[in-house]
Amino acid sequence: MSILSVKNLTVSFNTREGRSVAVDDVSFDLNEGEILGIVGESGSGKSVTCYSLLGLVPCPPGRVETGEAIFNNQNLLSLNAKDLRKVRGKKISMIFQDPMTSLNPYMTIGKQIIESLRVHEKLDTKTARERAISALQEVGIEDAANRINSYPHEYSGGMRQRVMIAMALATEPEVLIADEPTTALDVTIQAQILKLLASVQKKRKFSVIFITHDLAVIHSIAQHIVVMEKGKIVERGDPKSIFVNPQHPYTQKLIAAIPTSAKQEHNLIEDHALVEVKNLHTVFRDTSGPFWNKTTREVKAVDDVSLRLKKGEIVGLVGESGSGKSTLGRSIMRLVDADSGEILMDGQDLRKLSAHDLKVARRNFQMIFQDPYASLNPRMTVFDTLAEPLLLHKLANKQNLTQAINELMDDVGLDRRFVRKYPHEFSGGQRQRVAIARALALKPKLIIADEPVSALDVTIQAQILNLLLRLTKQHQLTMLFISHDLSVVRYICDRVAVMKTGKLVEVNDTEALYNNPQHPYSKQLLSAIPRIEETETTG
Amino acid sequence: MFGRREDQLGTDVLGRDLLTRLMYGGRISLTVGLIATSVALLIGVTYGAVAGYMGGKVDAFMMRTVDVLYALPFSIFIILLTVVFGRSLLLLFLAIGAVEWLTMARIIRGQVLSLKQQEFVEAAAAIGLSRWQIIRKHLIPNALGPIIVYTTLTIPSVILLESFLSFLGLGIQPPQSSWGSLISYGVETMEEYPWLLIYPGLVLSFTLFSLNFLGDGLRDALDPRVSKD
Repeated sequence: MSILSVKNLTVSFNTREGRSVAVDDVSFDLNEGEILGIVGESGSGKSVTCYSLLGLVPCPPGRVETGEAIFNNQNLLSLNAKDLRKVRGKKISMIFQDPMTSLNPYMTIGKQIIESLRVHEKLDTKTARERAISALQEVGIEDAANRINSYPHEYSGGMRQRVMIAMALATEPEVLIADEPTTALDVTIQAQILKLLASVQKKRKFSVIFITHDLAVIHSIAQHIVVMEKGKIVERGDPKSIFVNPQHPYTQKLIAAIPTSAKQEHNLIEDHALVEVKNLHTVFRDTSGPFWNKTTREVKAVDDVSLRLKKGEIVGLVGESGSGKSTLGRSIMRLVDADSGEILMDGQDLRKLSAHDLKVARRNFQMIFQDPYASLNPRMTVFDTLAEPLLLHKLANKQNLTQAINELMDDVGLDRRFVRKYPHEFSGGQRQRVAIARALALKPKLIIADEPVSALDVTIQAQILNLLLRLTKQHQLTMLFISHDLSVVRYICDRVAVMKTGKLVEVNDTEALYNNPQHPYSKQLLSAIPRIEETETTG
Repeated sequence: MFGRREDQLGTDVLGRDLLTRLMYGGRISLTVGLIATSVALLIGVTYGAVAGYMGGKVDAFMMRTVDVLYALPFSIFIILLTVVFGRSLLLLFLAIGAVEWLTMARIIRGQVLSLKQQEFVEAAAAIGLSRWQIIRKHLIPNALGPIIVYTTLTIPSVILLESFLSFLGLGIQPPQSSWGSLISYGVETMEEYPWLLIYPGLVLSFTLFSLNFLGDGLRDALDPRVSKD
């Protein structure tokens, strides 16, 4: 029995370059009590599809060209703003990707839930409050009667997403639209939220549209899956048939891009250490209060860490956000000043170098950053970006600069003609290639890669990972690969270090760690990875 | 007199031709606008960028200094300068510039504070660029938008400041003229000879409009993200 039926939906946007069709003739049915997954990469139109159902697409520039969406015998697309508001939030609720920004920081959690309840149902404050408390209890917030008076910043990211779910469910909707609800969360929290969603859905029997780019996430909870590419639905079916026997080439590509396997080929690893970190401490001091009564709070971001990186190996550094893994990387890079300890590189302590010696030594260690949209100066062309390190360290002069840059472009698989372009003219994957080329320009021995693929789509992610593997082999690089994505780490790393609250809790060879984690935290982390069992068992 | 063919824009009380006075005045006003604004730009951008990038105690000290200077009455400061150094046009330009940079410094500091969080600044440090190189090559170019907008706002305020100083007797003296002094003279005789206010006012407004359009155009032309088709 279908509760929401979308037929021939087409949505277009007027842009500077002309009309672009974001959703192209999309039809699907959402059955009562089922979870429908919409999967696609960024720009595939999966979010626009759902937003247009609720009239949340800004028009103009957006325009719903054709189609209908039948919900309770009403066509949502032809409702006026007032009638649509009655449906939105009451019959159809939404949860958004980022729980940090979707709650109002100046209102207590309780007030926000009560507000949404009172807009849709004529409740007095007392009943609304009781409903809000029971909604919070339902999503597993302990001591809800007291916690309801807290402000959003007093909740962690996972807790906030629970609050968002409670808020969406408080009005007892018939359909819940979840737009990437776990993408911004750590892997262990993601597992909890998914479990929560599935159990509440089972109990209350509402329908869910679950939008995600992550096939592994959707696989574990959806009954039906729709795959979208460039505004079109290219494949639909139940998870099993889609994962075991994908028909459309794009679906096959998406599934192939999920890093499931262990590392295939190991580089030549020499026994001596290129970098040796000994008892490193980095402490952040946070001063607050008025000047006559200052209180300093110390956060040990890196707490007594010792780590050896052998020449030629890729070491993964995993942990949740706030575990200090990025700070460790930045401390080694000398972008953050460590408080004590040694960072030995080729026997030289990086922490004891003078400013001039440090500048010279920076040739040997470079960094690749997470966000390719922020890590390139928007006002510099690719040529200028790559020329800067070469000229600074006198690795090239005016005559051979162009040639050196062309070689770098070839190395990272970018067309040479792109050198005169600015970063905004590239896609995310291409930008990350530019960032990699910049790191390679100085021919470093060590590269610290801080979540280099987590901002990228799965298919692009696979390309960048393979590029990194090829380059480490070709240039005999040593790499510290910081990531929260354990399947990516398994695919690329020789050894893995697990970090928790500033400390390394376990360091082991990748396969040994994944098959037999020793520390309880490693076990917890590994059990939270969303898996695709069918494909693993059927091979 | 107004409306005689030889004096297109009329004459003032003493029979001096307004068009001629406007043209002469434009030299002073535009020079003041350009030189004083350049001085303000140079000091303000450097100061603000350094304060924002260094952060911490350096930033606190530098910005408190700015606060103190803000509190200093501007006219007293300039009177002091003219008393010490004597009266000269160049000094006037510099003095106005030395006052106008304060707001510029604050705006740039704010921009730099948000820019320095971005990864490309860290990437520049990782390459081995010095602090000054990072400020010059990466931070200031990315703050160009607000710099240009604020510059086009500073030029008119500087032109009007000059008229205020001339009114106090610290700026230029008759028979020399500037747009600002022509306007303030026009205000006094507004009821009898309205054209003495209208024409200088029009000229000034027209200049300000042009500057705003120039500023917008420059900002777009210097921003690679705005497509050039």
